[in-house]
Amino acid sequence: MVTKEEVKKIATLAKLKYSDKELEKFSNQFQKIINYFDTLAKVDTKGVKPTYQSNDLYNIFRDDIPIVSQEREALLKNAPTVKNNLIQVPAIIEE
Amino acid sequence: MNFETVIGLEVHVELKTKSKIFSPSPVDYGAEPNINTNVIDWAYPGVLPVPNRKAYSMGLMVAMALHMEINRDSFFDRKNYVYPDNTKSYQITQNYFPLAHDGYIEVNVAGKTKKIGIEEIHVEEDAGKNTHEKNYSYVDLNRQGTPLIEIVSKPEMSSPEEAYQYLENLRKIVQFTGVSDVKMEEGSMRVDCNLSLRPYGADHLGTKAEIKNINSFNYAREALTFEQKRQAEALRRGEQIHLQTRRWDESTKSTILMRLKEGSSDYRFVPEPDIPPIHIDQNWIDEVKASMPESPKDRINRYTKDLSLSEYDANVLTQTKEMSDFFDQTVNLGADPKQTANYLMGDVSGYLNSEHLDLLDSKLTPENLADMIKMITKGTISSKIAKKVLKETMESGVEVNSYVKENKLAQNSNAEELLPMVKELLDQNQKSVDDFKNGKDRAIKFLMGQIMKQTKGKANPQMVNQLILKEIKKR
Amino acid sequence: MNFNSLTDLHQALKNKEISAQEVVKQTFAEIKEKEPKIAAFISLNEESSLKYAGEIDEKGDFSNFLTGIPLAIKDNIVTNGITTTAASKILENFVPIYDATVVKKLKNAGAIVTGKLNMDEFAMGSSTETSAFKITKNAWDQTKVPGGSSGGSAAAVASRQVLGSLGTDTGGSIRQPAAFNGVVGLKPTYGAVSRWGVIAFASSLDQVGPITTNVEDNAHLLNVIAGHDEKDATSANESCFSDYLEDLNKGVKNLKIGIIKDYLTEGVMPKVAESVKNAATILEKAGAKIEEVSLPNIKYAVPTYYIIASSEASTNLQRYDGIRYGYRTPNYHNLEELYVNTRTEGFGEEVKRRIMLGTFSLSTGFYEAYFKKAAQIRTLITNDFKRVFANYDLLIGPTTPTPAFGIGSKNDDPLQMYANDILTIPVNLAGLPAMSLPNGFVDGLPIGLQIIGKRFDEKTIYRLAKFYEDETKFYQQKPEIAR
Ligand SMILES: [Mg+2]
Ligand SMILES: [Zn+2]
Repeated sequence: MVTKEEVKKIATLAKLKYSDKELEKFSNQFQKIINYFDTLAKVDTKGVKPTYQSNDLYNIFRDDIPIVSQEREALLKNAPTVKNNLIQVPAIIEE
Repeated sequence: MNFETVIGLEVHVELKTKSKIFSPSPVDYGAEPNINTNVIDWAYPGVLPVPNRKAYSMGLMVAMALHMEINRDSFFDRKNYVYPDNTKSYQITQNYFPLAHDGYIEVNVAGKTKKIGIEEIHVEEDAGKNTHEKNYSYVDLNRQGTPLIEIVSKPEMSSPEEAYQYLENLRKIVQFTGVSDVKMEEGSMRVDCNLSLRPYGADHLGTKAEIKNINSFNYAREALTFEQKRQAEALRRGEQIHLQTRRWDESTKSTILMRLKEGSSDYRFVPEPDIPPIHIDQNWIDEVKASMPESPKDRINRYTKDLSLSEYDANVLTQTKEMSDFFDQTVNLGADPKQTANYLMGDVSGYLNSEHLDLLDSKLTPENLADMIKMITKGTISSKIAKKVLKETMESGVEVNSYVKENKLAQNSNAEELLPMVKELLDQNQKSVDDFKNGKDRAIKFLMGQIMKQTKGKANPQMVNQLILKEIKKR
Repeated sequence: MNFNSLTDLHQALKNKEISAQEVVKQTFAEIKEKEPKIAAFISLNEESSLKYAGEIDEKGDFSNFLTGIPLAIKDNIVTNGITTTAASKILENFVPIYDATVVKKLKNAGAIVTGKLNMDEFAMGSSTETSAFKITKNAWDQTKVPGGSSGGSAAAVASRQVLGSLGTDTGGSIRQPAAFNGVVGLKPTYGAVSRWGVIAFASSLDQVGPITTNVEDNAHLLNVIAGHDEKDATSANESCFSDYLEDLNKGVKNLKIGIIKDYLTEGVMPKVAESVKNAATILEKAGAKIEEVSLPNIKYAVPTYYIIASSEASTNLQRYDGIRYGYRTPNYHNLEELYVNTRTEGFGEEVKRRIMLGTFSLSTGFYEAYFKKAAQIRTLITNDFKRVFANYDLLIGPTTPTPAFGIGSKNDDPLQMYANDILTIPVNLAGLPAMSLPNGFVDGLPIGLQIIGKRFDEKTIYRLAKFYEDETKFYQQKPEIAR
């Protein structure tokens, strides 16, 4: 069982919020889907190597060659709040 | 109750690549805000990381220098956390199969050598930099994506002094690989300290506190000493230690609580699907081995065996790579090793200390130092003049040979020129000649002084001495 | 439009029967006429398309297949200077400052990007109903969904607003809408087409592919967009690629084709299953060897897929935080509120659901039981295909269990919507190439034949498809709106 409290905790991690009303409906649905996921528990996967990528590539690297993008102005233009070529955000309180 | 101290250290080291680890933006400090950034650094929709092979090779080199086991198969993972300087909201790092594991660093405390285990090294990217004002914080992404290695020790240090030594030795080993500047003040080496206490003989670890924001090895030692005492007192009062993050505050010389960790962070590590796994074959290992600079240990050996330096001198010269490299370059230019060691450890170090300069930031070059030492060996200049020349070239970088020539500082070793002067002097100072013959050695000093005065100090004193003795004997 | 295929259009341009500017003008006229009914586009790029066409006419060189040809691009593929939203409010006014590799390649080949196509938000959906902006309609029946997530890409081509488009396929998002709209859609081998500039949904599954009215056009488009890209570390080596037109007319004689037994049973409409058997008969008559094969682990494909795709999505979409680009909530007093309100307001319900599922599947205590377990079952499914492909050149089955369903009919039950992808998902998990090819009609709606190939063997898929298309001529039937 995934409790409403657990759903809230997951939402906190994901930086999402469900109102109390939404939470009721969502938790039910969420639980149903998790139950569906749980049908996999019966599959015997002992010793099976997990697949994280479906190609057989390895050691794909770049050479250490710097490239100046000249994109700063365009990048800053897309940011909602900017000051002195820095991205402005509400005060980070923790530090 | 008495407690046993358990210390573990996590050290981040910035790698000196030319470009970032997953984007081609330049790695360059002190640049204008956000100049060295591109769409990848900003985590734009649709961008992808491509890893920098050089960064991985550099990590590999440090792993070898720390006697670690290389994971022949490794891969990158995503570490998820949301923060303004972490643009993707995940850091690409290594969690499940990092670059290397199980190495060690030797420390020497109270005359005893102890091996401190290293748990693992992983390769990862740095975040951007935040600055703070009253209502806003500001993000500069120039540092975002700078390659880092994180060196995680085993919790095997039992005193702040051991931790101090571990850090000193780690810095030295990494510095000699040449992959990083490892400067705490500049942030190219960063240390997080974990300390916990447990009753002597207990088999499980106590709850630890993590101390961040430490910017020198001395502070690390002080912070650990403070924390050791603080925790012991708390435990003796019957209090419980909570998992927490603290920071070192230099002004109050104490550690200050930043936050309690109550399982609030869950990094949800997941293999990075955008980067194929890494396989390190023997070729790659051989390639890194071949490019690995000589270790301090090997250098000490070479200095004592091949160059006949004392153990002490060899140790001092290998305290930093820049000093050792400077020494090697000077000797390779034909300077006498013992003289080179003496000048570097004496006058040069003294000057650098008083000026608060790093060797590489000073104007002294191996060429000038070598030229100067060669002139001393050949007798072209006196050691007294040498001091003056050295000071001048350290301050202004002047070319030693032309400086000596232009200022006519070469000493006079020409017997044909000096002999008439000596003869004339003895003629005029019969008393001194008699005194000397009567056993008054001091007389010779007076005579020498006269010649030096006449030549404005440029006469080769050894030669003058010989000429006087020879001439007196004749009389 | 007076043209039925890119090939026709190319011939007309080459023979100077029509100018590029005339083609573009006609295209936008058609779009304006049909869009009120179909709603396939999120944004149009009319002015610069016309301008570019003028430049092309001036040069007058139409030897390249795509020169002067209008195409449209799914809106999760970034286009420099053209708003790109992934059909999400969180990117509502986002203007990219670079081109996706596929877009660059199309442009270099002379193609004209007419606009950006509607889709499910961040490609999460099978009906294009999760778009934050509009609901695209099926070209054959405007009360039905066009499929998804590349619903706009398929409907625009089926209604002949453009004759070729790009879609993306993470779990069937090209093939299912192609089937629902009676057009040809190919999901290439994972790694065949660069993902640089493709807004990530599930990085280990996403792949861009072409949607066209016929097979030859499709191979032409793949020839342009496929290839190694050093900006995408998962992009395949140059040696994996060949000319996809090469085997087009070789016929099917002696091809060994497996008909996937498991694809004809549970949940698959009998008429749909029947159509695949009919196809098998046609192929057999032409000299192909047909046998039934079984992939026992594909019954786990749907939950496996939804765990993996959601997990990857949860980390891919964490970057949309209102700090550097895109939507930012007006409702915040501090950083945490900025994050939470931006994301809560900016993402739609389905996207949030998947982020939640993914966050859960990766969190401490659940990673092993969900994400890692799914990754292991992915291996079992991949091995099923490997085993079968040791003996067969191609596999066939239906693309979808049913033809297009009604708009709004599956909105309330996410599980029912997810189950719809059962036949397309396994291919993504295994990284294989697969096509949906028009295979007749059920209840007046088009259905698709799915053709699955070996890794990087798109050529053989095209070979069978071209033969079957010539044989059946299903592609010649057009929806009312395109007649
Ligand atoms: Mg750490
Ligand atoms: Zn780290």
